[in-house]
Amino acid sequence: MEFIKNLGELLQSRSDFFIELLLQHIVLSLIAIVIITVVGVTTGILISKSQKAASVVIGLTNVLYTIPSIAMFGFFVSITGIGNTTAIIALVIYGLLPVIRNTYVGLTEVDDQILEAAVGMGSTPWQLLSKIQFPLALPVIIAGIRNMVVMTIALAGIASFIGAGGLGVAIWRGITTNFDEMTVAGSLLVALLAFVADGLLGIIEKRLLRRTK
Amino acid sequence: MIEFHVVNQQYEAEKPIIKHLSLTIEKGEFVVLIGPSGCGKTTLLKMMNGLIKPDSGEIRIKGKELKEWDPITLKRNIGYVIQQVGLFPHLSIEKNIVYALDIQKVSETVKKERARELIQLVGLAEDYLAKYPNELSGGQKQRVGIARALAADPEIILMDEPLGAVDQINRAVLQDEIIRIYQTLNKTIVFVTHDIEEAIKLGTKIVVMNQGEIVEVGSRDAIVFHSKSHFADDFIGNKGFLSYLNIVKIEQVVCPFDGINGNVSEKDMVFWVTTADPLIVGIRMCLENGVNHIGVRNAAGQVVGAFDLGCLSRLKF
Repeated sequence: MEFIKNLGELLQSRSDFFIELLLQHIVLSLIAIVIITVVGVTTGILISKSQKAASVVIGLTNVLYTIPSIAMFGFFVSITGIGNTTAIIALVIYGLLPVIRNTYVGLTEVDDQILEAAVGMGSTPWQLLSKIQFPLALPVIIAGIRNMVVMTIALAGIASFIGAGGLGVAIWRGITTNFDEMTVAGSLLVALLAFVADGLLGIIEKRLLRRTK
Repeated sequence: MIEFHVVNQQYEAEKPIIKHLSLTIEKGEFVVLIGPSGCGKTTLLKMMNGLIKPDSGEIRIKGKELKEWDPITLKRNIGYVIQQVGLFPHLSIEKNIVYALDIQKVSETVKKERARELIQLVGLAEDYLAKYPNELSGGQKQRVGIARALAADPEIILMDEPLGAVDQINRAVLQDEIIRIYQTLNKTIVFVTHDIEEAIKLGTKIVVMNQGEIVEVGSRDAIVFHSKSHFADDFIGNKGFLSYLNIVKIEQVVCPFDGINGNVSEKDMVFWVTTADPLIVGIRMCLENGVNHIGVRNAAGQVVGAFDLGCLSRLKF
């Protein structure tokens, strides 16, 4: 009880500090999320035309995904130095897999009969993609994006190890100064942020799916 | 309208799908392609809208060589209905029906108007337009599938086993609908099926296929009674004959009372059929009741003559 009370007091007395870190965390994650979504969905669409390209690209992102995050951050520090840029690069590389994979799977698993009907009626390749394939793949793509968003927000917490801002700063400071309330406060806020983001995406998903199911 | 001249197609070198096939389909014909599975009937159909390209030979659609057609334009000029319907699950019935117009950038008002026209034509209420495919039964979906194929008012409509997944009762109803639509709109229809009854019922011209070749082409009468090939004989056989008796109406053979063997009169008739009954009903009634003659009335209930087995000789092939 004592701990929770201390935690509450800390969050209150240092609210400016935590809000700033929270905002940094949101901006950092958001930049990565936008880049991942654009690059991931585009790549997924491009590789959906060729199975060969798909297995190469998905295989590659799979390998990148298995590298521990600390190692990945460390590796990029040696190339791009410490700071936000490096953090964003690493986050993007991590987040690509679920988005590329889900976009690819969503697009290629659209029922053949539906595609045949659309092609047989004279759809151009672009119309087939934009009017049929993409809308039908959207639930799977959004599931991938949701997955990626939660992961990116969590991983951004580690980014402060390489000098990026965000709630990781609080966690890191808490650990190094043996200040448990600080560590827990930072962790809780990261979890809360991930939770809220996931909830928001869930609502968007539901709205979109109401029409497509 | 559609001409095939010595067309060949094969997926694998050793197994041709279509062998030296020639076929002419005239404007306004209802052509049924029938044969065992793997005979190439669907491949033949898909060559007509360019979904499958021939390896050699010449295909002309509306007088123009297939190669000269822009593949997208060709498909937009031809209606296409498939077995699993392939309705777009994320689009309302209205959007499904006008899809072919949508991809050709037709105005919203025209699309709305057309959707309403077509939903009525295929026998569904207007409020279905707002529904989604998953709210419809199999038969209703196929009605929408047919409406969708008609949206751009194509002269040619291709149907690939459209009723294959519809239950027996709905199938008969939909067959009647297709005949009605064919007769009202005066389209050229090419229809693939493996159901002999369906072929005999629908086709003005029936094409029997086997192993990538056409073994027989002809009218209903010719296919049932005068087939020249062993295969068609076996394949169509008594099943085709039964379907024939089920489809040809007594109207076509009814005799005047004095023109019948034994010279009977209206008073002698105990059993009656109508002109719209198929032959099989009349034949059955004779056999069931052990009578030689039965009376025939028209739809309005007026007496028009008699029917007996001798009348069948009035069928002209």
